[in-house]
Amino acid sequence: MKTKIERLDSIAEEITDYLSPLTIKEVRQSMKGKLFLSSFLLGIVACLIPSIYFASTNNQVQGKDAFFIFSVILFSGVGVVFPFMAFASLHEDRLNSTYELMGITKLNSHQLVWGKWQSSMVQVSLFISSVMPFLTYSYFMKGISFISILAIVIIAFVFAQAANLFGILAGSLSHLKKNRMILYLLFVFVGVGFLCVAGGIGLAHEASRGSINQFLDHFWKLKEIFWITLFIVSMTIAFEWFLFELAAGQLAPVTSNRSSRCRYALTLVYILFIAFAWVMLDYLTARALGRSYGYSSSLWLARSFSAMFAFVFVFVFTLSLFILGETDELSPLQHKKYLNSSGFLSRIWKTLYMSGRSSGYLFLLSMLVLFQFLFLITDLNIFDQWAKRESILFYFFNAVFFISFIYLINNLSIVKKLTAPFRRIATIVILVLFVAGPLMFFWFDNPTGKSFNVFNPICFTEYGRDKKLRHYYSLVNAIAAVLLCIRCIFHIIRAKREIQTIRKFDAGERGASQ
Amino acid sequence: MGDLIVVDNLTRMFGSFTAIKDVSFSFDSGSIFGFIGPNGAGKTTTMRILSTLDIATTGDAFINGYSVIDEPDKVRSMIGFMPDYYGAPKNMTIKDYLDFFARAYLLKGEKRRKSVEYVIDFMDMKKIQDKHVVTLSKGMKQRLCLGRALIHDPKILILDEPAAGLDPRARIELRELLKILAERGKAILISSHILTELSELCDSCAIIEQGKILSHGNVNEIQESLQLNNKSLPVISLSLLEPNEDILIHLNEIPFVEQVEEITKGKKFKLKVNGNKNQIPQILKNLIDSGYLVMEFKLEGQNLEDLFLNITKGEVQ
Repeated sequence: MKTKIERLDSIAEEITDYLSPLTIKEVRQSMKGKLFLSSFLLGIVACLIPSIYFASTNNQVQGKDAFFIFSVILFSGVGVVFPFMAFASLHEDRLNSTYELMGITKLNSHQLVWGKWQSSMVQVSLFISSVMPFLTYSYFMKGISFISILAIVIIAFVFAQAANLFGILAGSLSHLKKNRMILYLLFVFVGVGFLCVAGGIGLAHEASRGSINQFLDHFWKLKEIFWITLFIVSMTIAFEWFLFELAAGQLAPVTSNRSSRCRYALTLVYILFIAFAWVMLDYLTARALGRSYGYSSSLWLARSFSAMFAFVFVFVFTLSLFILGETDELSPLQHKKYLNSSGFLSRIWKTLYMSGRSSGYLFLLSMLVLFQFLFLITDLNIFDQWAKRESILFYFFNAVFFISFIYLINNLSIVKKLTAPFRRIATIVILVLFVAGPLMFFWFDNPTGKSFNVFNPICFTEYGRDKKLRHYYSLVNAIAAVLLCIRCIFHIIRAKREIQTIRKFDAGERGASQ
Repeated sequence: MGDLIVVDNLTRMFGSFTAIKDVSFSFDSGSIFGFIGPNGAGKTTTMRILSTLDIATTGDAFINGYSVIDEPDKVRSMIGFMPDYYGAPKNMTIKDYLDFFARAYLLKGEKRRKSVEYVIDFMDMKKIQDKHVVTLSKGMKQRLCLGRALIHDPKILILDEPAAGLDPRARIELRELLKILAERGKAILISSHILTELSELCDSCAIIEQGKILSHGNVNEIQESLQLNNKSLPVISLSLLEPNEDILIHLNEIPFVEQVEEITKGKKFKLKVNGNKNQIPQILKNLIDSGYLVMEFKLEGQNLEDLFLNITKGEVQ
C-alpha cells in the first residue's frame, strides 16, 4: 500500500514523462550543483544587506532607491549569471562528449536546445521569485509604483529569455576549451550580457523616476496600440526563434541541413515586418482620409520604422556571420536530396535554403531584393522624413554592402587561413577596420553636420550621397556580385555533371538488369 | 537473409587526408567482431560513421538494411555506442544518468523504470546506484557507459576501446558481460589494443592499417590462411617430467625435426618441424616409444597478436 507521499511522488514522476529529458537532467544537476545554490544565495544576501540598511533608516524616499538596487541585482543575475550557467552547461556537455551521446538518442538538436533553454528559464524563475519579496518590500517602502515593479520583472524575464538563448548559442559555438573564456568574455563585456545589464539598469533608473508610468499612460492612449503590441510581441518571438534555430543548427548532426530553418526564421521576420508595414500604412491612410502625407505627422512612427530597419538588419547581419561557418560541401544525404529534386522552382527553392556559403549569400541577397520590391509597392517613402530623399532602394544599400563585404572576406583565402580558428570574431574585427574605419573618416568629413548612426538608414542616405563612399560601396558590391556569379555558375556546371553521371549510371544499371 | 551490419566501401576524407579507404566487412547478430589496428588506423572513424556521428565521403554502411547515410534516425534506434573517451557529467548519480538516457530514447513510465533497473542489475551496480558518476573508478565508468549503451535494448553495440585503462579484473568482468550479450543475440563491434582478449572474445575480426582493411573474416580462418602463406616452420613446445641429458641427441635424430632449442637444460625444448602437420603426432609417438616421460607436447599456434604483427607493418598515417 502506497502512502500519500509515495502516490504524490509517482504522479510527479508521471508528469515528468511529458517534460523534456534535458530539462529534467539540467534542473537535477543544477539543484545538486554549487553554482546555482551559491548564485541563488548570493542574490538573496545581496538583497538582504541593503534591505537591512533601509529598514534601519526608515524614510519614504528610499522606496525607489531600494527598488533600483534590487533591480541591479535582478538584471545582473538574469543578464550574466544564468546565461553563463547555460553556456557553461552546454559547453561542458560538448567537452565531455555527453552531447555527442545525446545526439545519437531520439532527441534532435531542437529538443536539446529547447531542453537547455527550459531548464535555464526554470532557474531564472526561481531567482526572480527569490528577488520578488525584496521588490515587494520596496513597494511597501513607498516611492515606487506597483506597475513599475511589474514592468521591470516582465522585462527582466524577457531579457533573460534572450540572454539565455545567447548563452546557449555561445555554448554551441565553442568546440574547444580554449575558446570558452574568449567567447564568454565577449559575451559579457561586448555582447548581450553587457547590453542586458546596462539596459536593465537604465530601465530600472527610469522606472524609479516614474518614467515607466508616464510612458504607459501615453502608450495606452495611442490608437495604434494593438498593432504596436502585436509587432513587438511577434518580433520578439521571431528573434528568439531565430536565435534558437541558430543554436540548433550548430548542434545538428552532420547529415542534416543545418541552415534551412535559420533561413526560414529570417523569412518569417521579413514577412512580419512587411505585413506590419502594410497594416500600419492601411490604418494610417484611413486615418488621414486618403491624404498620404497626413500620417507623416506621426513622428514616432517614422522613428520606429528606422528602428525596425535596424532590427531586421541585425537579423541579416547575424545570419550572414553564421553563414561564414558553413561549407559548400553537402553531406551525402543532402546532396542526394538536392540532386533528386525535380522542377525548376523546386531546385531554386532548395538552392536558397540549402546549406553552404554560396546559397546563403544568394538567399540573403534575394531576400533583400524582394524586401525592397515589396517596400517599393507599399510606397513607404512617403514619410515626410524620407519623402524628400531618394527611393527606399537606397536604404538597403548599406545592408547589401555589409553582406557583400562579409562574403568577400570569406572568399579571400589569405583571410580564411589567418583567421580559421576565430573566423567570426575576425570578421567582426575586419568589418570594424574596413567598414567602420572609412565610415568614421566620412563622419569627420561630414557634409551634412548630422549625428552619425550606423543603424539609421536616413544617416546612410546622407553619407551615401557622398561620392567617395558611394564608390567604395559600389566597388565592394561589384566584386562580391562577380564572385557570387562565378560560384553560382561553377555550382550549376558541377550539379549538371553530377546529374548526367547519375542518369548514365541509372541507364547502365537498368540496361544490365534488363 | 543478409548480415545485420554491412560496411560497403566506406571512404572518409578530411580535405586531402584519407582517414579510411574502401573499408568493407560484415557480420551478423550474436557475434562479436573485433576491429584491430594501430593508433590512427581509422578504427574510430569507421565506428563513428557506423554510429551516424560522422559522414562517409563515399560508400555506405547498412544496419539491419538501413543506410547510415539515408536513414540515420532509424539506425540510431538500433545501435548502442560506447566512445573511446567520454567525461563524467557533474552532479549526477548513476541512476539519474541512466534515467536521463532512458528518457532521451523516449522510454516512458514503467518501461523506463524497468529498463533502468534492468541495466543496473545487469551491470551489478545496485549497491552504488546513488553514487555520483564523477566519483566512480575507471572500470565502473566503463561499465556505466556500457549500461548506457544498452538502455534502449539495441540490436548492435559499437564499442570503441572499451577495455582501455582497465585493470585485469575489470577487463575479465567486461569480457564476461560481452559474452553474455552476444549469447543474447546482440551483434557487437569492438575495437581494442588488448589483442589476447579479443582473440578469446571475437568470432571474426578485421585488421586495419592506414585506413585500409588488410585482412578480415573468422579468426581461425585468418590464422590458417596466414599459416599457409607463412614460410616459417611449425614450432612444438616439449616438456619432460624429469630432466634427461640424452634427449637432446635423440631429438636431433628424429627425421622431421629441423631444429632444437633447449629452453631448460634437459627438460624443456622448442622443436622446429620440417614437414606437414600429420607428421607431428609421429614425433610424440617416437618419444613415448623411446621411454621419455612427456609432460607437455603442444603445437604453438599464432595468436591474434602474432597475426596482427605479421599482417601490419607498424606504419601510421
